[in-house]
Amino acid sequence: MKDRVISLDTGSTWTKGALWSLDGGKPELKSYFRTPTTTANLADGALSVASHLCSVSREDYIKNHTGIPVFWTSSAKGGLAIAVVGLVPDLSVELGRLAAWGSGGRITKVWPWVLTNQHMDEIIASKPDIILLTGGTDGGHEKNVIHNARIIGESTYDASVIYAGNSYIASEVEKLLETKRCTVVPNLMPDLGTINEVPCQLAIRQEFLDNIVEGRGLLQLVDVFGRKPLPTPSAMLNLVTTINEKCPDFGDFTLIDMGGATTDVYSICPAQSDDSVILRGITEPLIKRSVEGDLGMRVSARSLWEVIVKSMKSATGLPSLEQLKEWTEHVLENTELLPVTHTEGDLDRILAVSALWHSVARHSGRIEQVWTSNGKVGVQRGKDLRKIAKVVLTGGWLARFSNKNFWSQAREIFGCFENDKEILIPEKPDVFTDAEYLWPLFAPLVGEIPMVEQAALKALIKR
Amino acid sequence: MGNINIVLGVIGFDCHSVGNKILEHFFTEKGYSVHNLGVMVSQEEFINAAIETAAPIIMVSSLYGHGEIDCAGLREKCIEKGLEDILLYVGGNLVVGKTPLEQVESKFRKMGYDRVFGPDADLEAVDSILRVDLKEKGFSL
Repeated sequence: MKDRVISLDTGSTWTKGALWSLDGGKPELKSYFRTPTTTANLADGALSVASHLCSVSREDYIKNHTGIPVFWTSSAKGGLAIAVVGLVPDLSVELGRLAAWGSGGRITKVWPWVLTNQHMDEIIASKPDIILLTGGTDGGHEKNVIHNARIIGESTYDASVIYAGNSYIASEVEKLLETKRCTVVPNLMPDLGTINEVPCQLAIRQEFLDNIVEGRGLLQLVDVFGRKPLPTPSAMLNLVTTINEKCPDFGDFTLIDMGGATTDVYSICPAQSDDSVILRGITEPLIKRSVEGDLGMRVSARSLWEVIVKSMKSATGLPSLEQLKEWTEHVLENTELLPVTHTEGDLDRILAVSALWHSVARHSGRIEQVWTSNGKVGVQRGKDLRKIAKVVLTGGWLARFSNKNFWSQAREIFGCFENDKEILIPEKPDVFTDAEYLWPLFAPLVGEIPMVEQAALKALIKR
Repeated sequence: MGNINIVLGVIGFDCHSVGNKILEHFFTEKGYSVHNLGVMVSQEEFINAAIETAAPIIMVSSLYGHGEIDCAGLREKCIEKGLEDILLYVGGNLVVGKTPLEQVESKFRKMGYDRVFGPDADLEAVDSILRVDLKEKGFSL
């Protein structure tokens, strides 16, 4: 009986779930319920949500499965922790970062060139679930990559390794890593500067499914729901990809998913929007995800404040910095706090605007104008988001975000130039909010039931 | 093993792209794996590309007369990055005005370039020289 389904997301501040009816073909929201995530045992909160949605007691839910399929996601352990080891910072290392982000990961440590035992200790201390080892084009560099594999192989590191470097030495690398759980996938950079991220992302996702769902009650949930979870960001990426494939009318867009600790940015557009500029460095993928671990509304409020102070060009529309500082310290102590007074609302709004701007600015590329014998030429690095016409906001704070002019406000406060380089941030986007905060609950349904993408777009409100 | 990798590009703020495309086609036809970085390439980009691809040779073009400034220091940077054995070829309109090729050659040789070519170099001859140089470095072709 698949006329109703449940989707559920656990692991972040709130565990939330929705019951959907499928009568009209596409998912229609029947009820919604959320509860604070029970971090010690995720099953507690998740089972309360599921039983509440089915209007039965928890015990009954566990005992007599209601027959309503549950598709669920988890960002357990604060996401999938990945350390990237590669060769050249601008090439294989950068592609490693993009691939890690693009598969829903959070990066704990990055090392280029040559690993030493001391670096390896630092990587182990950063507690990654996966080390992503890259380096060398196919038929290219071997020496340092083999050395790095040896250092990892001989270390006490006991989680998994994914090798996505020079495929000509894959069997040698695999041998050096035989004491570890090692997966070899096709090279992330088979040819110079080109990215082949899909096999690597699939391997990271598989690793999550096979080995990372063990802790904190997740196994019980797998048992009760009869299905493994997807990593939350990876499901969101599925949703974004499906919208891009199946709803071409919506066009290029940027999605910003902001939480208490991190801000995730997804862009769906070609790397270059202006053919007259020269693109240097790697060509970034059509669908790019980035994660900013220091930009968030609560847990990361202090680092966000530091970024604001360092980068502001104008104080127009800003409350006093002292007041802002006090507010960030206050919310850091009480991470579940919501603004009550008008002033608190303003302060929180400034935090949100700043985190939005900086997360998108870091995600975006830069253009520098240089003089040549043929006149002035723009040299671009990274991805050009200027022509993106739509920005979609989701996450607890952004769902309620109704400030129509925030983009131009942020532009005024922070400016579009960084050391004479233009930041290729969306110029004049229309802003859409996921006002009922449903996108994380549409995401687990992608590929399971039809027309999720249309329903997700319909849920957006244009500001 | 695969083909020999060549890293190719036009250095500095130079956007002349025609000769660059010809070189890419020519050396690809000759059986090399050509990694063409295109125009306006910095020294760092040449070096990074050579590291990732393990190319035994970097071919630097310069057409706009600023070659001397743009090309200086590449050899030293290669040594710093562990590419002390890499072959460096340079060609094009390397200096402003009509300086005899011998003078240009001696200047660029001093800067650490193994081979120096003028704007009208015969590519077949360049390939023959390259094969000799690669053989000397221990590469079998």
